[in-house]
Amino acid sequence: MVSAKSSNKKTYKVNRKSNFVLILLCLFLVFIGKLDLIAIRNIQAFLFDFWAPVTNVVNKPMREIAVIFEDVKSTGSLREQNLKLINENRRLRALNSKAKNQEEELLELRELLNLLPKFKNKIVTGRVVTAPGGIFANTVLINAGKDYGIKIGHPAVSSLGLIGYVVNVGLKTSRILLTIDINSMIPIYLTESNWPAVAKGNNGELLEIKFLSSEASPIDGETVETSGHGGRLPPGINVGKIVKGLSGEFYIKPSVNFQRMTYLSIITNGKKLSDDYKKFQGFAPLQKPKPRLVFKGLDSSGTRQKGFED
Amino acid sequence: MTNYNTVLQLLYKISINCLFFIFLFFLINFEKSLGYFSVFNSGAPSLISIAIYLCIRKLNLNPSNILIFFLGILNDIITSVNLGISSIFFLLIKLLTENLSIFRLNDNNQQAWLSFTIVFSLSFFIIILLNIGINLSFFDINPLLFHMGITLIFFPIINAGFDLIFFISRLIKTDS
Repeated sequence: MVSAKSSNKKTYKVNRKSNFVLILLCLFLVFIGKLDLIAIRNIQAFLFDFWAPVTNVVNKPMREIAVIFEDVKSTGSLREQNLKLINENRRLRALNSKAKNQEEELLELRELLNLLPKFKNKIVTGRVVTAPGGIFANTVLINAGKDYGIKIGHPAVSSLGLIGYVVNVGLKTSRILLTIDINSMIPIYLTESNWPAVAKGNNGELLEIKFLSSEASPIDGETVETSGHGGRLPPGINVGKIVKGLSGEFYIKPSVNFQRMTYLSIITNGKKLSDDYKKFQGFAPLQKPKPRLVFKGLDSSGTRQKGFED
Repeated sequence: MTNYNTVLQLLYKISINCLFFIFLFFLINFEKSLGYFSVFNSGAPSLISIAIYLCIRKLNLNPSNILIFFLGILNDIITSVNLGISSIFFLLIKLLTENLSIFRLNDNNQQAWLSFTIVFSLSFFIIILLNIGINLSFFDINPLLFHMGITLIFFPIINAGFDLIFFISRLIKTDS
C-alpha cells in the first residue's frame, strides 16, 4: 500500500522479504513465458484485445503532436524535397518505359519455361495502435485479428517492403514482431550476388546477416529480398539494402522506416497451397552440397544412393 | 468507533493506491507513445523508474510491492516483453532506492542524481543480463546506452520540476 514511510525496521524487513518473493515470482513468470505455452499466449492475446482501445486513446494525443512536429520539420526542407522529387520523377519515367519492355519479355520467358504462376495474396490492412520500438522488444499492435483471418506467422508488409510477421493474434488485434527485433530471423537472398542467408535483428537499426556462405561476397547497396525458404514467408518481398559497417562486416539496412508506420498490411494467403507450390524450394536455389559418399550407400545430404536400396 | 476509523483508513489507502496505479498506467502509455517522436527512435526515457524513485525519496510515498508487480506486468503486456521482466526492473528500483534511503546517501540534488544513477544503472544492468540470458544473444548496445543516458538526463529536469512545485506551494502557504 502507498503509505507514509515509517522508520520502523520491522516493516522495512517485511517489505524487503515480499520484494524478494515477488522478484522470484517474476523470474518464474519469465521462465513460464519463455516456454511459449498456448495458454499464456491466449491470455496475452486476450489482454492485448482488452487494453488496445485504452492504449489507442491514450496514445492518440502524442501521436498527433508527433505528426505536427514532423510536418513542421519537413516544411523547412520543402524546396530541397521538391527538387529531389522532380529529379526522381524524371528518372522514374525513364525506368517506366524500360520496365514495360522488360515485363513483356518476362511474360514470354515465363510462358516458355512453364514457370509456376505467382499467386495473388489476400491482404488485410490494419492501423498501428501502439508506437514501435522499445529497448528489449520491437513490436507493434494492429487493430485486426482473427476476425480477418490473420494467423501466427503471416508476414506484415508496407509499400516499402517487409515489416515483420505476426507473433500473436487476438480476436480484434494482432502483435507484429518487427524485423529489427532480436527474436526475428528471416530467410533472405542477395539479389545481385545471388546467395541465400538469414537476416537477424538485434534491436538496433540494422539487421545482421547470418548463415551466409564464406564464398559469398555481398555488394554494398545491393537489394535483399525474402527467399521463401522454409515456406513461412513468400519470396520476393523487399527487406532492405546491404550496407558495409566500419569493421568491414556487412549488414542490412531495412527499407521500411519503422517509426513512421500508420497502416500495415498482412498477407493472409487465402488460397490453399497447391502441391506444385509446396515443392517449390524458394526464390533463389540453395547452394546444394557437392554429392560425395559419406557413409556406405549415403551421400552428404543423407539420401540413399542407387544400388544400396533395400 | 475504532472499527469505523480503520475502515475509513483502509478505504483511504485503497483509493490512494488506485489513483497511484492510474497515474503510473498513464505514465507507461505516455512513455510508450514518446516512441512516435524521431528523437526517441532508439529508446524513450524510463519515466516510471524516475517516478518510483521520486515517490519514495521526495514524496515519502512507499508504493506497495504488489502494485509495482502488477504495473510491471501491465507494462510487459503493452510493450510485449517477456512477462515479469519489467516487474523485476521496477521492484529492483524500489528495493535499491529504499536501501539507499536507509544509508541517507542523498541530501541535495546532486547527490540525488548520483544515487539515482547508481540505482538505475544497477537495476538496468541486471535486466540486460537477464534478457541476454533469455534470448541467448547480445543486443545492439547503442539503444541501451541511449535509453540509459536519456533517463539520466531527464531525472534532474523532473527533480527540479518537483522542487519548483514545492517552492511555489510553500510560497502560497506562507502568503495565506
